[in-house]
Amino acid sequence: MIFNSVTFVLFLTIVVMLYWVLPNRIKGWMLLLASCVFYGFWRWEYLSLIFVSAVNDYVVSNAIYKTPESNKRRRKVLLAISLIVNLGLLGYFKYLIFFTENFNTAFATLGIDYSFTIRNIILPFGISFYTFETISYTVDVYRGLIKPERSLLNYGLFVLYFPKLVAGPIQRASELMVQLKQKPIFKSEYIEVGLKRILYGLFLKVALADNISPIVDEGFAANPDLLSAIDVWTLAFLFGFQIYFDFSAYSHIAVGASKLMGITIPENFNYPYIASSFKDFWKRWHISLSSWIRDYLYLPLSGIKVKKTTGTGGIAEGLETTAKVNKNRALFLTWAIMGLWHGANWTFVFWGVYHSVIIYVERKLKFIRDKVPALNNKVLGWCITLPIAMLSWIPFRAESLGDAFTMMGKVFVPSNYLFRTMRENNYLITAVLVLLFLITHFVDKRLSKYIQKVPAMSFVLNCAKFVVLIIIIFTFLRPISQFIYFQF
Amino acid sequence: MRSGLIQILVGAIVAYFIIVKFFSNDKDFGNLALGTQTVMYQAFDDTNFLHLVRLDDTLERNLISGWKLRGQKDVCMLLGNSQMHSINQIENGQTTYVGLLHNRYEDSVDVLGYSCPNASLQDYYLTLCYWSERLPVKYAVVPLFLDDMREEGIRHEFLSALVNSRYQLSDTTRDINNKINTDLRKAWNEQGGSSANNAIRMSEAETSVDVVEEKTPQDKTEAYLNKELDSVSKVWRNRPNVRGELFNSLYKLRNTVLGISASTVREMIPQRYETNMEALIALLDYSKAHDIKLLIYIPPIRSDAPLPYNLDDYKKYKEKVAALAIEYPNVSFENFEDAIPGELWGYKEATSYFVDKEIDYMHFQYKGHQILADKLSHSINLMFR
Repeated sequence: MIFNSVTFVLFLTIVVMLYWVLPNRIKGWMLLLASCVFYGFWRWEYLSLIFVSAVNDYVVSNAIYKTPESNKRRRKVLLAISLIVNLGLLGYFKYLIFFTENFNTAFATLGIDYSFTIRNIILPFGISFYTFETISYTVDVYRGLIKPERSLLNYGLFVLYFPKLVAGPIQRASELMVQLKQKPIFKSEYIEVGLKRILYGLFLKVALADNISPIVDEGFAANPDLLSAIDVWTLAFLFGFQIYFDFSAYSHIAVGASKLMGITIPENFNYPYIASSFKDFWKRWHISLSSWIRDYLYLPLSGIKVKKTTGTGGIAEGLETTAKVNKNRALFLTWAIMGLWHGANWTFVFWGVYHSVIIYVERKLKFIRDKVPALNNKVLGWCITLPIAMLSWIPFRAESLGDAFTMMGKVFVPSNYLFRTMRENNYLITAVLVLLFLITHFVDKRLSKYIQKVPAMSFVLNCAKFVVLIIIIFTFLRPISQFIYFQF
Repeated sequence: MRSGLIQILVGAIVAYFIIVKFFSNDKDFGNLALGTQTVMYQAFDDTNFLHLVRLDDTLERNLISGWKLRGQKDVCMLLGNSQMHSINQIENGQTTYVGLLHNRYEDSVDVLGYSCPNASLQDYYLTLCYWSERLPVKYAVVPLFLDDMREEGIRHEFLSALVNSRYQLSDTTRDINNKINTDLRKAWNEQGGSSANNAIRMSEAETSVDVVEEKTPQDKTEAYLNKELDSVSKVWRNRPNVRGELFNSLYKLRNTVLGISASTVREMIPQRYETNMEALIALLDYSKAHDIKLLIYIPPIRSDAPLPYNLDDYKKYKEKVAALAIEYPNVSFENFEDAIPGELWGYKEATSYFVDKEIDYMHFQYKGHQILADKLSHSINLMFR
C-alpha cells in the first residue's frame, strides 16, 4: 500500500481505531493481519517470500540458541543457512537480471557465442529491508546479543510490522519486540505526535518531492553531452532534494503511523544537508541503514568483534573491540556493497565507491584539521560537504555509468560554466529550495525555542502551519509516484 | 486535550473553510492566459464540432460523426495552439480561421482542426499520427511557433482519448516516439492511480509497454475511492482546480518578484529545443511515409511591439525549418509572421500581480483570422495541385 493515497489514510484510521479498541490479546494478531493486508495491496502472492524469510530465521535463530557455544561448526552452518536463504532471495529477485546481463556482455566481449536468457522478474517491495532485518536478528542471536523470540506472533510482527515494512527504517529486533510485548496504554500524546509526523511526511511527498520529480526526470532524460556545468549542479541539487524529501517523507509517515499505536520506530534523518563533514552526513542520512551496514558489514570486515548491545541506536555503542585490521579495505568494500544494495546497476556501485573515497580522504586529512582548528569551522565544512554530497547523486540517478561520467566531468571544465540549457525556473527552484531548507533548519533548531516562550504566538503560528499543510496535502494527495526507496 | 492536538484540529477546521470558500469555483486553467479580451472558440457546423481543443472520447466521436455525415471526404487537418482557438474582442457570428477554411473547401475536402494551449512539437506530432489513423488525413497544416519549442512533453490533460485507449506510437525505433510513449504511459498511470509498477524491472530486450496493463488492488481501491469522493464532494472534485490556482499564484508571484511580463525576452531552452526539433523531423518523416501533404508555417506574431524573442535565435530557427522543408518533397513552408497588422491584436490578462493587462502576442481579432485564412488558403491551393 502506498502511504500517499486515500486508501492508506482509510486503512490507517481503521487499524488505529481497532488497535485501541480491541483487547490486548488480540492487538498483535490484528496488527499482523493488517500488515499482511498492507503488503497484499501491492501483490499478495509476494507475501510468501516474507513468510519464507521470517520462518527461516525464526527456526534458525532458535536452533542457534539451543546449540552450545562450544559447537561452533553447527552454529556457523545454521547462520550460513539463514544468510543463504535471505541473500538467495535478494540475489534472485534483485540481482539476477543484472548479473545475467553482465555475464552476457562479458561473453560477448570475449567472443563467446553464448548468452543466458532470463524472463522478467518483479522486484518485491521491501525485500532489501526485511531481509536485512531478519539477517540482523539471526546474527544478533548468533553473537549472543539477544535471545531468540519464542512467540511466532511477535517475531512475525517484527518482520511484517506495516509502518516500516516496505522502506524502513530498518529496525533492530531488540528495539521493536520489547514494545510489541508491552501492554499499551492510550495517551493523547501518541495521536498528536503521530498526526504531526504524518502531516509533515505527506507534505514533503505530495507537495515537494512529487513536484520536483518531473523537472529531475526531464533533466536526466536529456542528452548529457548538451548539459552545462550549471545544469549538472542544478540537477544534482534538485535530485538531492527530491530523494531527501521523498525518503524522509516516507520515514516521517512510518514513524507517525507507528506512533499512533504508541510504538516508537527509529528516526532515519536529521537535516543531512546541514552536515559539516561526510562522517557527519552519514550520521544524518538514512541513519538506520548506515548503522546497520556499520554493525553487520563494516565492523566484521574490519575484524572488529561485536560483543555487547545497548539496545538503542544500533549496537555499536556497546562495542568491545579485539582488533582493528583492514580498515581501508573494509571501507571500500562496505561502500561498494552499500551502493549495490541500493540497486542492481554499476551506477550505484560507483556512488558507493565515490562516498568511500571522500570518507577516506576526509580521514587522511584529519591530521591537518587537528593542526589548524579554523578548518574545523562548521560553516566551512558545510560549504565543502554540501556540493560534494549533492554531486554524488548524479551517478545515483543517471541512466548509465557513461551518462554519470559525462555529467560529472562537466563540472571540472571552466568553459562549461559559461552557458545553461535548462528552463530558467529550474535554477530558481533550486535556489529557493536551498534557501527554504536553511530557513527551516534555523527556525526548527534556533528560533522555535524563543517562539515557544510566547504561548499565544506559538499557538497561532502552529495553527497557521497546520492550515497550510492540510490545504496543500488535501490538494495534492495522489499516488502518482511511488516512493523512490520502494525500488531498492 | 493536548495543545498540539488542538492546534491540528483548529488548523483542520480553518483549512476546511478556506477550501470550501475559495476553491469551489470551476476554472479552465488550460486557457487561463487568454484573459478577458480573448475568448476561446471552436468552429462547428450545424451539429458537430469541426475543431477540438480537448481530445476526449465524446468529442472525438462527435467530430468523426460529423465527418461521416458530410460524406467522409479526405481530411485537411489543421493543428495549432491557443492562437487557433482564440478570438480577441469577439463579436456575434465570427469564427476562427478553421471555420473559414472549412467553409471555403467544403466541396472538396473536410478541413478540421485540433489545438491545445501551449502545445509542443511533440503534441503536434503525436496528434497528427493519432488523427491520421482515424481519418483519411491527406493534408495537414502545422504552425511552428518559437514559443512552442520551449514547451516540454505532451499535454496529456487534453488528450484523454489517447490516454484512455492506451494509445502508443507504433514505431519504437525512434527515441522521440519512445519518449512520447513513456509520457503517455505516465499519464495512464496518473489517471488510473497506478504507481506500483515502478518496481517492475525488465531485461533490456523487453519493452515496458504492457506493464501499464497491470492493476494492483491498491490501484483499484484508490480509483474506486476517488470516484466515490468525486461523486459526493464538489470540493474533492475541484482539487485539480485548486492545484491550478496554487501554481498560477506561484507563477504570478515569480513574475512579480522578477519583473517578468509577456514582453520579456524568452531565451531558447536548448534541451527542449532539441527534443522538439526531433519531434518536428519525426512529423516530417511521418507525413512523407504516409503520403500526407504538409504545410508548415511561421505563424503570425504581433509586429507593433518588440518581439519577446532573442532575435538571433528566431532568425536561426526560421532558417532551420525552412531548410528542413526543402528536404521533403511533400512539405511546403511559408512565413506569415508579419501577416496580421498590429491593430488587429489585443491585450491579455496580466501574468503578474499589480498589473491590469499585458500585450498579447499570440491571439488576434476576427479580421486577423480572415487574413490568416486567406494566406493559408493560398498555400493549401498549391498543395492541392
